[in-house]
This record gives sequence, C-alpha cells and structure tokens, in this order.
Amino acid sequence: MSGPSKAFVPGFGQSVVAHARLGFVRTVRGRKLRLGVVATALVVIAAVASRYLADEAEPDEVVKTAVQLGFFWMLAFLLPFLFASGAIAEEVENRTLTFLATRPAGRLALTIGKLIVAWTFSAGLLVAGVLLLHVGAYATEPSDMIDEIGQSMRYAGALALLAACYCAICLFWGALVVEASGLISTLHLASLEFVFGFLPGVARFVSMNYFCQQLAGLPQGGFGTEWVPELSLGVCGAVVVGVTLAFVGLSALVVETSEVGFGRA
Amino acid sequence: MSKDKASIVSVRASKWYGKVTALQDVTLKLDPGIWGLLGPNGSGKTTFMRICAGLLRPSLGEVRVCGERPFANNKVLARIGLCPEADALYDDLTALEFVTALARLSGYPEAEATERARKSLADFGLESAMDRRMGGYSRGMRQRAKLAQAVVHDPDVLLLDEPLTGTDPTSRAVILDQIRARAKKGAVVLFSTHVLHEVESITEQVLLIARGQVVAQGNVHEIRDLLNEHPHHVRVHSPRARELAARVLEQGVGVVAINVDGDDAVELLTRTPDTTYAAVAKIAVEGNFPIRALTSPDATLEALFHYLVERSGRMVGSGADRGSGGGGGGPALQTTGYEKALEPGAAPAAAPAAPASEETP
Repeated sequence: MSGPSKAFVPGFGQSVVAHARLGFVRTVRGRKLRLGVVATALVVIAAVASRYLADEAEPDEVVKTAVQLGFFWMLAFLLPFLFASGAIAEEVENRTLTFLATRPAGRLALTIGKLIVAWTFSAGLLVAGVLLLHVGAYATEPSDMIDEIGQSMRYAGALALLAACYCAICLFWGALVVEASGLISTLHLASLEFVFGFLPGVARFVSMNYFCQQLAGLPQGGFGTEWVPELSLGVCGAVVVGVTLAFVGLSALVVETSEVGFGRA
Repeated sequence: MSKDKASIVSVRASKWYGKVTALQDVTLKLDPGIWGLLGPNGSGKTTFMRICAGLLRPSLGEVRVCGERPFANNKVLARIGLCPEADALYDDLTALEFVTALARLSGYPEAEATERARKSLADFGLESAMDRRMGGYSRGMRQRAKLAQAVVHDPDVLLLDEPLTGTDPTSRAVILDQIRARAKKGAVVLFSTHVLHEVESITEQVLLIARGQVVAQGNVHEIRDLLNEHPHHVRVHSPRARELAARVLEQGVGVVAINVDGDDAVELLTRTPDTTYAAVAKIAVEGNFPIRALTSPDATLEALFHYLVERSGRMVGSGADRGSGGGGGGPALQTTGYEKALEPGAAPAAAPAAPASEETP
C-alpha cells in the first residue's frame, strides 16, 4: 500500500466502456426510458391507425408524413432532450458526479460515455419506431414492405444522425448551465432548430433538422422554400457531423475544466 | 506511474467563491498516518478535501497529492479514495453494482472489479445487503457503501469527509477498524469531523481548522486541554440579574468575568462550569431569584476555534499567518503563528467572544 504499485490509469477505451456500462444500467432502470418508449409508441400507433382508418391513405405517404411530423418534428427533439440534457446536470445536482470525477477513468471518457448512452437510447428508439411504423403501414402489402424498406432505412439513418447532433447539443448545455440545463436546451432546440427550420433563405441552414430532412429525402416545408439554396447531400451530412463534433468538443472542454464544488456536487 | 510517497502538501492554499473565503492560506504537510481534520460546520474542511480530491482548484497557492497537482489528474486520482460528505448514491443500483462500476472506472477488469467490490463491501459489513438496491438502505449502510467505494482500489490517500455521520456504534467500530488498517499499510488518511471524540477514538494527530484557516496542528489531547482551559459561558436570564451576579461573585465559584447584558441577563465566564452551574442553582434557590433561562452559548469546538483565532491576535482576513504548519505527525502542537496562543496558561490576547456590554470584573 505504501507504494503506488497497484494504482494505474485505465485506457481511454476501457474508461469510456466503463462509464457507458454504468449509464446503460441506470437508464434501463430509470423512468426516462419508459417515457421514451411510450412517446415513440404513441406516434407509431397514431400513424398506423391513420393508415387503416383513412379510406385512401397510401402506406408510403403515411410513413413519409409520420416520419416528418412525428419523428423529425417531435421525437427527434424529445428523445435526445430526455436522455442527454440531464446526463451530466443531474449527476451534478444529485451530487453523484463526485464519484465519477474522482476516478482515474477521466473526465473526457465520462463525457463520451454519457453521450454514447444518450445517443444509443435516442437513436435506438427512433430507428425502432421507424421500423415499426414501416411494418405497421405496409402490413397488408408485403411486397411493398420489402420494396420500400430502403427508403425507411434512409429515414432512420437521418434520424440517428440528427439524434447524435441533438444529444451533443443537450449534453453541452447540461454541462455548461447545470442549474437550467432543461430550459436552455429547450430554448436552443425550439428556436435554432425548430423555428429556423421553417425560415426562408440561408437562415434555414442554422437548423440541423433541415439538413437531416434533406438527407432523409423529405420534401421541404415552411416559408419561402424557393429561396433556400440547394445543397448536395454530402454537404448536408458534413455540416451535421461537423456541428455534432463541435458540440461534443465543447462539452468535453466544459467537463474537463469545471470544478465540482459546493452546490454543484 | 509516479513512485512518489503518499503525502498531501499544501502551500499557502486559498479558495474563495466570489466574495466568500472558504479556505485561507493553508500550509501543511501530511505524511502517512491518520489525520483528524477538526472544525465546525462551514470551516473549510470539505473545501480542502475537495481540493485534495482534484474536484476544485485552489484560487491561490498550491496543493500537491503524492507530489502532483490533483485537479483532473488521472495519475493522482488513481491513488486517491474519497468518501464525500453528501448522502448521495445511485439509489437504483445495488451496492455491489455501484462499487463494481467504480472499481472498473479505476481500471480493473470485470472479474477483478467484482471481486474487489465484494471484499470491500464485506469489510464494511455489507456482505448480506450488497445485492439490495441502495435506495432502501439506512443512513449508516449508505455511509458504509460510500466508504467501500472509496477503498475498493486500495488508495494511497484516503479522504474521508465526515465518515461517521449517521452510523450506529457497531458500524463506527467497523469503519474505524478499516481506517486504522488502511493507515497501517502506509496510506495518508485525512478524516474530517466536527466532533472531537470521533477524532480522539482514532488518532492523536489533528488539524484544527476554523473559518478557512488552520489554527493548530498537533496532538488531540492538547486540544482537549485547551477545551478545558477555554472559559465557558453561562448565560442567566433573570429580572434580578445584576443582584444574582453580585452574589455569584461573592461566593467565588471559578467565575473569571461577568458580562452584564441589559437589566435582565448576565453572562458568567468560568473555567469550572460544573461548579458554576451548581452555585447558580443554589444561589437562585436560597435567594429566591426567579430564573427565566440558564443557557450556554458555547458550542464547544466552535467556541474553542473562535477563542484560538482571537487569542492568537489573528483575525480572519488579516492574512497574518505566513508560517508552515510543518510536517509529519509529531505529538506536540505545531502552530507557527499560534504558539503563544496555544501555550498552556498563556494570557488571552482578547476577551473570548465578549458581547458588546458593560463588563464587571
């Protein structure tokens, strides 16, 4: 014990996995996952019900409309907010961050581990929801179900990318403004992501939701669509990935340099 | 990995939050062994612990643990175990899952992490409860779970912030045994509390901290002597308070000073509180004095800390202390800047906590 022979610093990968494992167990046992499942199920059930209750609803139209309204404009905001905005902020407020921040696994691994957990559950529910929607909407037309699966997977991929971006944004605000993480994350998503997604011209480029809808191949809506410059899918993807990485970096910077003091943990 | 010996060295470390000074000019060196960090609530104990644990940075000065700055320093954190004061745990996890997860964060592979967690929890008497979720634990069990996670990786520096809070006598014995065992193996154990007898039961080496300043460092028995030496305040509320005070003085029962506070209250300063209490009761009965209240404004250690600070002539915020607390565990009090105040029988430099009132010698 007198020497430091037993003490060692785990590798970065091992540290991330350790943080993520802890996060997975806690999320599976928590209420947030149940809330997310219920919200996703409601959207899927409503869309599938509309398919069979409306007389002339085509399944591809039902899926497209449900993905745009229910997933891009609703669940894509709700789920990352649910899983990421409190990931660090709640640890601070509950005073449990002390246990994690005094371990040699390191704060960068803590940030990445939290992000992985939030993204996995957000993206998992979004992808699972789209697939269930697809199966439900095409249940009576099996051949179309197989033919159109590619399009639905494209929706799911774009949603998963958007979830990563929104998780990073919410994680950042949760780390920076612990006391008002939910409020600031909501303001960011509601104004910069939702409202700007409807504005004309280049203002729409502020919204990552817009870029991901382009990646999904969804039609443009909102005001002054004709004034929005066209961008290639590669550029759209690069912008979303770049913004995501920027927010991940900022989150890591905040967590790495922040003090865990009185009233904070 | 550094080969530096386990130690905590603080050189003029200060910490403030805005205008609030939490720690001021703390200079000390702690070598392996158990150290009691003794101070009233709000005195800066937790701030010092958090700086040592790498959770906070000193605003001024420097703290080194095992030779390095601990803030977000993974190399140092691998050698530190912290049991925080807050009663905060992951209530939805079992104790075994909790301690295993933290062992994994200390770099142990799955099997070894689980094995270490089991042993650590068993050491603290939680073997039969380790598979239960911690949300259902009693306060003492939660405290033991926190201690188990602090030692699961065999740290060289163990920081225990009020570790006996909420524990029953049996748990205390288990915890104290474990702490002694860790210290015997060569760890630096810093044990904070505001209860003197908790420290007395485990170590003779103490650091006294008050208002963010280390006011003394040394032997716990000398602190006990100081407590006895420190004039005790007895406050008597009576409509005939002045007359009562005069009778007490006449009887000469160890009262060294009397503060008269208005017409209906007096404060007696005595070095023999038991005798004084008995005398006041006797005088009140014999002289038919109506007593409305008989209280002691002293809160033992807090009063002692104020006494030490004032007696040394060093008021908070003066920054007068520039000395080193000095090193390693000698039995005598080391109080550079405070020697005079702490010498037995030294004359008070200022009246202890005298209220603004007329004083009758």
